[in-house]
Amino acid sequence: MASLADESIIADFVAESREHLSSVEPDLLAMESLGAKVSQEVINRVFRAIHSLKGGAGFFAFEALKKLSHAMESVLMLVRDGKLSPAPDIMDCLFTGVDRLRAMLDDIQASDNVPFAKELANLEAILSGKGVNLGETVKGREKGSKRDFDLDAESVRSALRRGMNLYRANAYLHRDIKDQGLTPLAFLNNAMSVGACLDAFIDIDAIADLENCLEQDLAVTLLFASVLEPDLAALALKLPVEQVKVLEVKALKEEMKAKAKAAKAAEKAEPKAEPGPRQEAPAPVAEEPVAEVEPEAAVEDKPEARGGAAMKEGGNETLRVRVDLLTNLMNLAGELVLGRNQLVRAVTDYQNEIPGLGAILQNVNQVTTEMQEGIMQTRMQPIGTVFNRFPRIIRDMSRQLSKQIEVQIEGAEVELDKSIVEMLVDPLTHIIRNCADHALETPAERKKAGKNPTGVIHLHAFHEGGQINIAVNDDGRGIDAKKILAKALAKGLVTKAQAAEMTDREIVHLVFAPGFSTAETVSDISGRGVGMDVVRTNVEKLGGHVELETEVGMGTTVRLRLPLTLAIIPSMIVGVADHRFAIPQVNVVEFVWVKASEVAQRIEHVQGALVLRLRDKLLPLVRLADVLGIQRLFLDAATGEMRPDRRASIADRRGDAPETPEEASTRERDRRTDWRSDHNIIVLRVGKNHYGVIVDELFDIEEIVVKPLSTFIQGTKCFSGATILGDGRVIMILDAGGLSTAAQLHFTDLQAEEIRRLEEEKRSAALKASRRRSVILFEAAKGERFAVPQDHVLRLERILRSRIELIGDREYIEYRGEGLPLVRLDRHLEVRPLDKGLEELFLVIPKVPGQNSTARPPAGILISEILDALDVEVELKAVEFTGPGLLGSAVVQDHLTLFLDPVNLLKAAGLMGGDAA
Amino acid sequence: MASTQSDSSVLRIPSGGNLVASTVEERRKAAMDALEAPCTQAVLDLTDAEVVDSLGITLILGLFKTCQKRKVAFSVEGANADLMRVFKLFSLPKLFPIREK
Repeated sequence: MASLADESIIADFVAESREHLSSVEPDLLAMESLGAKVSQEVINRVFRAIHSLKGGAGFFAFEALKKLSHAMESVLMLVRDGKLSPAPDIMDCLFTGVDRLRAMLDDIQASDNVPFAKELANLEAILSGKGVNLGETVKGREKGSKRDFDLDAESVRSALRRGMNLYRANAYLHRDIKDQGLTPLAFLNNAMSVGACLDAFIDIDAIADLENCLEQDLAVTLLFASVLEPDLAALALKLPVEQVKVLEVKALKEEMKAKAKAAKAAEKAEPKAEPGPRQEAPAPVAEEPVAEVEPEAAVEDKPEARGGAAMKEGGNETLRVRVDLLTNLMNLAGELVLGRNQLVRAVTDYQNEIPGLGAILQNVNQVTTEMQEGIMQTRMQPIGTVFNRFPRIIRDMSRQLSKQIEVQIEGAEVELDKSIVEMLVDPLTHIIRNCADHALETPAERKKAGKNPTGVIHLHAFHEGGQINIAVNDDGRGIDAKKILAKALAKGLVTKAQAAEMTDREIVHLVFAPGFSTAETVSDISGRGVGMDVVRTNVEKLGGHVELETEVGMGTTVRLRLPLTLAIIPSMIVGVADHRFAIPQVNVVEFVWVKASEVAQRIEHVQGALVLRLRDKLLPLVRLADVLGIQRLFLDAATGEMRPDRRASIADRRGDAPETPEEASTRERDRRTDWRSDHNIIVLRVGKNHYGVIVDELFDIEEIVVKPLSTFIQGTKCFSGATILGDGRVIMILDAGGLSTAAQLHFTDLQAEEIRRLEEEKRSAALKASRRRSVILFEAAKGERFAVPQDHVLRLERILRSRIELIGDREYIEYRGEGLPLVRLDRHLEVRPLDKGLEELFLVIPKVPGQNSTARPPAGILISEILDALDVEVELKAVEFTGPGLLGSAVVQDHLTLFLDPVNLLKAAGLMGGDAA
Repeated sequence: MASTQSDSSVLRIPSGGNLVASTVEERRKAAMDALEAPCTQAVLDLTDAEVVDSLGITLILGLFKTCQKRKVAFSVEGANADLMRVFKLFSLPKLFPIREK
């Protein structure tokens, strides 16, 4: 179908209409879920969107689009007016209507070929039930005319918002069109190229019949909106100035408002309870109305009601720009960045020679960066544009699957490059479908499992570490690692030997293997087994990473980590031998410099893998040269030449290869400790895992422009693209994930080793703690030192020797009203007796395990002096002589000290009911 | 503008080509002749018309007014997409039914 209007105007209309439909769906869902409680604002938003679409469709004469949107608008009007409740069947009709409108917009020129009879019939059935006449039109009347304008309120508002003047232009078919050599089509084309034609009609009153009709020069009246001033508008329309009249906008606005108020008042007065057949109201005839529009046209402009081309409250104008223009700008910005890098590289050396060059370079540098960032910003889109389509998908799926599913969205405002947003649609849709189809249980199953019958799918986008994280979480049945493994074995994806060594996490990640599916039935929704590997592939194509966390019975989280943009990324330039590589900065965690002399302490082999001990963690290491098959070189300090490095590993101190005579002769200048053999390690992040890459040289961080790989090297895992450096050299961009895969890193092995070491350290700490004792130091005979653990002592008491009484061969002392047996160490151990000259002695009253501290103690040990109470860290050694209650000996405060176990001593003394000595 | 009559009540009026300045007078006369025959409905068939200029539109409107006077229902058929656009933008479908080719 040929287009009267400029194609770009239609393209704008399609883009705006798509936006309207995107914004309509969440509101329709809200209407459905809230029913009659839904706010008027939500209904109005939907109404305005459909109304705008209808207006545009009418304007461009897309009949099918207009008819369907008109019917939807009529239904919405009933809902808005409270004459119809947004029941599910009504909402179904609106949803399918939206789908059909979308299908029409997909190929606007063939929109009339899209079948919509069923949808229209359903809507008409609703309307006929309510006695609505679909033929209602928006009426307007041009001053002094007998003929009504058919005005689209939204078009009028849109024109006014954009500061356009409204004109009534009269053109005569003969004088102004035919005699100017124009066809009516050419005339209208011209008019629409300089503004918007809101309506037009021909004054047919001047014509009586066929008899003399050809002599009549009929007037065509145009209601026309343009930014042009009147004289220029007339010139552009190729009409005399007097035939182009400006319509008074202020009067028009006031008229719109007044009519709206009147209409509202009339609605209020109108009884609502009678849904009988409604007569089409005649167009109201005002005294001298400029234009008359239906009530919603006069609703105060609200920001949320406006399309993408609207002006926001703050006055920030927006402008539709074609994506290919932005893409071109982006590419040019990329080339500019490259040129800037090359320029800086080329003239840096001349900065001192040319005054002011440094400042110029800095300025060019800064402006380039800002411009590039600005252009990147124009391509950023909120992830909500993808997220917002899922509630509708889930609504339909939940019906199809007889499940109750709620979708929660968080972080819809997070922005990503348009290309990434577009490429995320398929992976995210697949994940969401999987959640609804496989992950979430039926209401009965959920009830049985003690869960809420309504399953929840939570979509969350957030920034983290310069990347975008998107987490899709469900509270469904989770993924059973055993089932996955069984399926993987059955499909031959893993061998039994491999399976035996796999962790649960690794097993669960098998769902990303090509062709993997655990779905017991292949549904028409998902479960064809071609999905999750495509998800992973697509995400990795974007330079992202996908991870999966699951817990049986609790749910699953699929987490995508994505770069903000793909086009220009800051990257670290590294060197290996003569080669240069770029590593995207988002993957770089830190740099570690390991001195050659520290290699033995910091780098080791764990389970055959090279690891760096970094802050008490084991970091797997790969040598970039080895992974990429590049001959390693080292600088021979003796000759100053680069020579092949033949060591199998940097942890090797000599290497397996036989020493050459040259090496032997230079052994004294050992490169193992030479500073030139220091190691540069870049710690990279791949999802949750980190690993180190050993490179020869670190250069600088540069903003690189990503160029796609040629098809013949696209299969290489290690590279994600190529770029051009400032010196013109083409280098490869390393893919952190691919590199770790190529190096066959097994993070889980190292994690197990880390856990083992951690436990070892804990044990060691516990042992150390066991060696630490709080003791009481004392003497019995002068110079003979003893120690008793404080936790074995109940009390220490001072006594006078004169109070000791002898009964039989056992000594006692009156202690708290009772006789307390006394024990002398020299009677049980090979130690000297107490000095007989001492009048004042001390008693160590042992603590008996399990006995109350107020209970009568079994005995007291006589000592001569208490020396100290202190913490000591000792390893007890066996003493040469043995005796009861002797734990061992150790040197404390430079004196040999015997450590006693008082309870065992008392047992030996026959005072604890134990064995007598 | 030769006329054919499919039945006693419907008068079909073929355009016989483009309705432009050079042809409208001839077509006007033919239409007038055709309308001499009694009918309740007149259909202008634009299947053969690629272009309709200002005079053509005037002719169609004259035809419409004549039919209106004689209480004969008037409609247009077989309009191509370009013609449909022009008719719609001039709001002619509000006066009489127009069906696209």
